[in-house]
Amino acid sequence: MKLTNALFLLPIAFLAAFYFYPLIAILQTSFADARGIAELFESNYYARVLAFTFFQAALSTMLTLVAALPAAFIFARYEIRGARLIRALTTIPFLMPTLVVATAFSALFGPRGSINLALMRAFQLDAPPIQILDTVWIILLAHTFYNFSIVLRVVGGFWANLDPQIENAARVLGASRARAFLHITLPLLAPALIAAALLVFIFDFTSFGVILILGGARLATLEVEIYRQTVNLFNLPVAAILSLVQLVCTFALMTLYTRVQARRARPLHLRPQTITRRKLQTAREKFFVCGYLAAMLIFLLTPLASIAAASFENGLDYYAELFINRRASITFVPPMDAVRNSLLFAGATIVLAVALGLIAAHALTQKNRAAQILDPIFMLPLGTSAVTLGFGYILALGNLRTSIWLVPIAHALVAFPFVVRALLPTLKSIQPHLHQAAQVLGASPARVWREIDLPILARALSIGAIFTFMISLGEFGATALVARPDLPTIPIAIYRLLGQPGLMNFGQALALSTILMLVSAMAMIALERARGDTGGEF
Amino acid sequence: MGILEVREVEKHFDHEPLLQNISLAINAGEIVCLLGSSGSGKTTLLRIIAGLETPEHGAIFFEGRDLRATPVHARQFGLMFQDLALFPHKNVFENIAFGLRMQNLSRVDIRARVNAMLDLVGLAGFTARDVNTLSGGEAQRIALARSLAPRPRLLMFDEPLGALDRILREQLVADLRAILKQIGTLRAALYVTHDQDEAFAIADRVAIIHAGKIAQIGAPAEMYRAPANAFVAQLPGLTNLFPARWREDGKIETVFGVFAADRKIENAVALIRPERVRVGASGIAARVEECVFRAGNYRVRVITDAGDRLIVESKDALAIAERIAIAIDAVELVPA
Repeated sequence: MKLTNALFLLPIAFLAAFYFYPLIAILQTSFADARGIAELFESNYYARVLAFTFFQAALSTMLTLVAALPAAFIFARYEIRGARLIRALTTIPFLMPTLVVATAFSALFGPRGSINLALMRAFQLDAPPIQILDTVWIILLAHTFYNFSIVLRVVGGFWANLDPQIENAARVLGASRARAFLHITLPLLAPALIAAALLVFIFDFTSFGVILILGGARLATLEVEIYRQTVNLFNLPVAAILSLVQLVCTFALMTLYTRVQARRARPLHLRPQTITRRKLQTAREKFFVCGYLAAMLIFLLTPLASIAAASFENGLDYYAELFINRRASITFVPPMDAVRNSLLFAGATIVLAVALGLIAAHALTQKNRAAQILDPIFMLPLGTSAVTLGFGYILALGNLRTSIWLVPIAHALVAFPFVVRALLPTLKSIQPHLHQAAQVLGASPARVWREIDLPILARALSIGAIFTFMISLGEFGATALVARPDLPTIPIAIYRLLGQPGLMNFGQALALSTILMLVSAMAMIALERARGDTGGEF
Repeated sequence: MGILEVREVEKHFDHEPLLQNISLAINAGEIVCLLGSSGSGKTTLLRIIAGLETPEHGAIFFEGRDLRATPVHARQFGLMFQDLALFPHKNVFENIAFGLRMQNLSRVDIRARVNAMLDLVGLAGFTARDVNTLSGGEAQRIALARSLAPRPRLLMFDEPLGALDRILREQLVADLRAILKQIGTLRAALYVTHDQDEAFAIADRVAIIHAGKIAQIGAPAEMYRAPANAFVAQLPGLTNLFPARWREDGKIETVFGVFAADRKIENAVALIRPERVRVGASGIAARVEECVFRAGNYRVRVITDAGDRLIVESKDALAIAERIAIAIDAVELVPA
């Protein structure tokens, strides 16, 4: 066998050991112990958890669509000054770690949150007037905040290229504005709408950090329940069967999404965006558009700004406290160590994910049947929730469970499909003649790789690396299950601090969240730079 | 003994024979053209010589050495691709310097050589240009400079002028031949094209590939004077080919009458050269279909009353639909 073919086995072996083997362990545990299944049907508690998971995801998705569709319309049809900047700002929430979002919402709407404090001060109240923490409302709000930009990008991008003459033709034929939209534009938008809705639904369905922190003790989705059964109750058979249910659901949703994506290629006469846009004309138009955009930016940016503001409420006290290891500290280490841990883990994850992704992408460019079979297999981790993955590791990996490598391995597995997707288009675009020209000019195969492929791939590689960095930095679901207690990452430390009483602990959570937000924001800027004008695709 | 020898090369593609028992020798200092239509296997033969593909049978010898164990990058050949394959992430200088860097030359030597190459192709001062901004002709010259820079022992071209317009192409063909002939280290050049004008303009010898075999190899004039078969005859424009029957008395019978035979060939066709047809007062009755002025003469397509089409030459212009008479002085036999 050739060396390169042997190399292709590496990502396959990695997936086999750290993806398929843990999933098989979940399957085995589910069916080996009948207690799990029996317990599942004993009460209707688990049925309620499943129902709530679907219910909150459906409601969140609908809310996100309603909130973001006007934005999609405005950016598609109007020429707005600073549209690029505004659109870039709207993606910030989506790229923020879940724990930052969760902290932001409790910092804003919690009993000690800035809104309640302001209201109490303004109306001389004794108790916080807004009590939505631990209710479904704050979850819906957080999910809408989080996924807003998906709808805006997917639907807005499609809408912008839709020929406005089609709608005008309907108007001329006698349809009112509303009917033209309902009967013409909406059906044409449907494929993009469905794709966006499905994607948002999948994210809401597998949402973990937001619900764990904002949902309180009573509200649980499948994902949260798996975590609680594993960590709090150590009820592995039930956790296993719940994981199985979660797996089946996410795979079904992912399959549906892939189908919809494939069918989206409808023979439409798409127009360049410069033709489809027009200027704001009437005063009413200006009022509504500007008002909506202002409200949108306030909604998307205040939660994050409020974390930063609140973290400096007592000067630098919260930050100073991060360096101190109190005897009662629940992190066992100074919280600041979590920053170091996160950066080290992220570094290791980048090496792992980029190396494996590069080999895998290379394998996929081969013109053989193996590549066709491997393509969907390499994407499978996308359809698996992080908590399920972490739980699989606990079941399957025995002594390796306490290894410090487990965190970067789990993160690399989550990032791997993204790296492959980032590299594949560029790798495929490299003409075989370039390799052959270099060979004829005297470059050995290794030299061809170093001189031709690597420099051409540099941009895609840095995009993959930054993406991996952001994923690793913010990953919470899998990390919560596999991280060693003495080596917490930033999200883990934030979670522990949020779970403790006292203003100082909450303040430290705010400070750590601010740090995480800052690092993520820097990565985001780097990502924008690396991307250039190529634009983003989910 | 040629400097490059192709010995009994065979290659299949999708179970169909692409190259059948190809043998070819190229002498030192020679420019040889492989001429054939698309799908004739000429590019594959080039790639086999470069080492980019492996034949199922046969071998390539250079200066008497079997190249089977020599990988592409160690052959010291040059190859110019049809799409030129300039490295998009490197500028003009870096593209030309690539092969020199592979030879681990010093920076000073590389710079000197690149500049010399740019002078040679008439693009001095282009060093810092982004290759993505070059015009078709410029890109073509840079690709040539890149192929020539590492002093290849054999230089090969895969339809390098295919993408250019005709005037630019004719200019470059002339330049190319001049450049190739003035390079001292170049031992031979092999040029693949489907364009016979290009082939005849650039080559010392032309090898015509047809249906996986070499139909004929020789100097351009030779192809015209004695085509090996009907296919070869058509390439330089000898299209007056008609069925011929060999008679017991040593004469040839065609639709235009009976002629004396120059030689005896079984299964042959009759070739009527346009210059051997006289337009005059008596002979076979015909009508003018088309009359085009070309290089001092008129090329006239006529149709006889019997319905056979023929290309003839005329000193004077003839009107379309004019009725004339033609007399054929002689025919030649060419293997079918």
